[in-house]
Amino acid sequence: MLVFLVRRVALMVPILLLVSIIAFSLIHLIPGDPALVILGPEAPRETVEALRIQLGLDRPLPVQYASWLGAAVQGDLGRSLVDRQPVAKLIRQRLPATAELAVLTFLLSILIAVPIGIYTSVRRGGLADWIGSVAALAGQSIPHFWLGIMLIMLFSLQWKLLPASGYVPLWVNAKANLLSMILPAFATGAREAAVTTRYLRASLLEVLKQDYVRTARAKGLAERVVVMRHAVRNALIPVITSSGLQIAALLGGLVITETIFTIPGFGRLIVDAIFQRDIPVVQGAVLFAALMVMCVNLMVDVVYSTVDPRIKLSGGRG
Amino acid sequence: MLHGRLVRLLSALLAVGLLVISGCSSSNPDSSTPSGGNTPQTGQPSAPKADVVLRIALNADPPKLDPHQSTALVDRQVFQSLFDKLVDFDKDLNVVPGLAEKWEVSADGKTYTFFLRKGVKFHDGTAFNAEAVKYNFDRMLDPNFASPRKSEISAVDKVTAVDESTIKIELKQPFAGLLATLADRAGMIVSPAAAKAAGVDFVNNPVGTGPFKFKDRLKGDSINLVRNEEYWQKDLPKAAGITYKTVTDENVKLVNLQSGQLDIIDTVPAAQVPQLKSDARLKVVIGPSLQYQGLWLNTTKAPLNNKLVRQAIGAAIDREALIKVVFGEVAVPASSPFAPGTPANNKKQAPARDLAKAKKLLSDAGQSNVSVALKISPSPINQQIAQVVQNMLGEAGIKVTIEQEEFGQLLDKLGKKNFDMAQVGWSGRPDPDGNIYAFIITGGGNNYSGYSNTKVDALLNDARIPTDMSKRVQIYSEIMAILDDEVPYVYLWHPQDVKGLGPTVQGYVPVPDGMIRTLNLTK
Repeated sequence: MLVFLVRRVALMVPILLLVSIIAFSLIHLIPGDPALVILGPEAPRETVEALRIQLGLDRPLPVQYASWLGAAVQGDLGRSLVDRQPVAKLIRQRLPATAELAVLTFLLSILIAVPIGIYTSVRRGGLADWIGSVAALAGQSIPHFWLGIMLIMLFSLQWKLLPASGYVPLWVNAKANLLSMILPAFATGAREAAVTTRYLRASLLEVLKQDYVRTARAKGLAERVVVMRHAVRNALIPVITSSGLQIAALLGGLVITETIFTIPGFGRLIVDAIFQRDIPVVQGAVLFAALMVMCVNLMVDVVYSTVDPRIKLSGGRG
Repeated sequence: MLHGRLVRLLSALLAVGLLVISGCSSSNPDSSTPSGGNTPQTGQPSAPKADVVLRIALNADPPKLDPHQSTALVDRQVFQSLFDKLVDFDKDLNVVPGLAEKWEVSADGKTYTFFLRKGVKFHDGTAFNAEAVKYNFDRMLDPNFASPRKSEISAVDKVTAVDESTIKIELKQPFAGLLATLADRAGMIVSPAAAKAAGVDFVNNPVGTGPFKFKDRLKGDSINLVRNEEYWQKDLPKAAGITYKTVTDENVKLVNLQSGQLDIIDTVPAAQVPQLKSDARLKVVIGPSLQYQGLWLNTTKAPLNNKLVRQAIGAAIDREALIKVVFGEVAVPASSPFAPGTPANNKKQAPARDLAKAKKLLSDAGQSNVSVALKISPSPINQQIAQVVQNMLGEAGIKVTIEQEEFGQLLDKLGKKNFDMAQVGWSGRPDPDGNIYAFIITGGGNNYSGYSNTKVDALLNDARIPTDMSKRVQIYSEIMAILDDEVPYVYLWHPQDVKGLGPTVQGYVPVPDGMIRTLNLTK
């Protein structure tokens, strides 16, 4: 187990390096001079030129990358080109909202998906199964932005139950925070719930056909015990895989929900930085996102072995 | 039908979902079950209160909160609250006193003397005086500081603090646009003490004399200001604070205004005006603006290096129809860069469409199948405009392909003259010079068409000299006559300034520069 963890963490280093090179190359491949984009169309030309030199953008690209990397390995992610704020501070400011939203979304999706997934697979072919499947398909097909706007229309404008925006950090005002998070969590959670429901249902149907389940039933165990204790646990493996991927995607990919509900999150930080050609922010944020994805994957692997002791964590898995 | 059913199904699903959520959140002592009574928003108007915080939506995050470093239009909204200018505009664009109570201009137009208001303090407690004003000019002109204001006040030769409250500005040559320039960012006075202490970090810690003080900001999200209790105008400002909130999505902006999370929304798109008007609780304010929009034509590259082809494009576009289709009532046809209601606008009717003339011009040019690319930045409105232009030019025999480019890329290509035709406009300045000089003069910073005409260059410089506006207007008319013939830019429309106000907002007065003055705002 320990060997496994050490090897996985060591493997992160080259991956992070690769990610940073790709991010650096991509942002430079997009046409648009950062100095010009930062200053905008109304800036005089000599100001643009002066800024380009001040920001070191006149140096060759490998030199720019090397100087960024040199600082980054010492823990200095640099400063935003736009307003000179430290990148680490910007990430720190933006992470809580996204992390909270990702966790709420995940909990909500599990809360919806697990009961529905189990129920529909046990009652396969019945009305409940049919409704559940249609709902899951709908949940997966409805785009976030549309669902988000619809939720605002219904809950904020029509029924005036929940605010359309107004995020405040959890530690400032917990009640206002949670109220403002309900709609966003639902807007993204609906899709995640749908995906998890479908995985769980398919996986559970597969498991319920297996011999040991028949044996358990033959032993005279109650159907509830058969399903909950014997089948579900085995059916969870693919669900954990998909949930892990979902959490990883949520941490970096909530930009649409963040935009619709004006939540100051991590996704918007990256997207804004790309549009502003704020290279150090893009670099730092992408690197951090990659790190989070790898950590989540690692956690998923650890959870595997807890749920299913047959999976051993040797160093060989990659 | 189907849509209705979908909505009902969805509502049912949502209701179930909400039950689940409220069920789980009620077990949490920190949260409460959602119900109508304790949510933050209300629809009912209430009497003005002393502790109101107005929430104003901006369509982009203001990049730099230092007026001497700022280049983005959106920064200027926030500056209205943080900084006072030496002079300001009233709602009819007359120059009125600001931090300068009065001023004198010498007969040769080369010396301006400003008499400053006494007893004004910066937010950090230091005194506003002639030395502070002098420091501000030195700061803008300092080559190491690389201020975008430097070129705006390039005519300034020498600034002298005559006494505690008198400042004298001497110019190298007369510059008639100076007062208008000082009613904008170049005239905003920052605290010398704070600017020296913060250095480049002043952009994140702005200190001025304005009605509101900077409290904090969350980049990309919001900027919070609080009332300046020692403001020099008695009993002002009326509000206790202002929150500028960055909301990039138009629909999100509108629903937040409707649900009460926002009080004022800026730059409302035409498509939303009917929707806003249909909501009886909200107010829509449509006022004149200084902006213009149209098409840059690349004069350095075939086929648009041919004047006749450029004239054909100008003649083939029906401005009235374009506006009717895309903008409804929130734009007026343009024939020049000078907005209606400003002195240099000669009230000439925008040219009507003349398809026969356009076709004749093309055949005179000997170009039977002209094909050009029209570059736009991506937005639904820009697409609509481009399609209308594409159709109109198509009828004249000019084939247009539409190319969308992200704004940064678009600017890059415009600067490199790597385009045929591009739809990019200007936010407008009160003085005519600010709407034409850099766009038309040879090698000008915004001269994307690559146009160059020595006669026009001379006239543009001449127009900067007279302090008598009527003389300048004459010169601008001469310039426009030449530009109408040579068409480096097709002036198409002047957007109107549209703001949406929440039910209880009071004290909003539209000024054509589009900037929201927050001094008298309350709700």
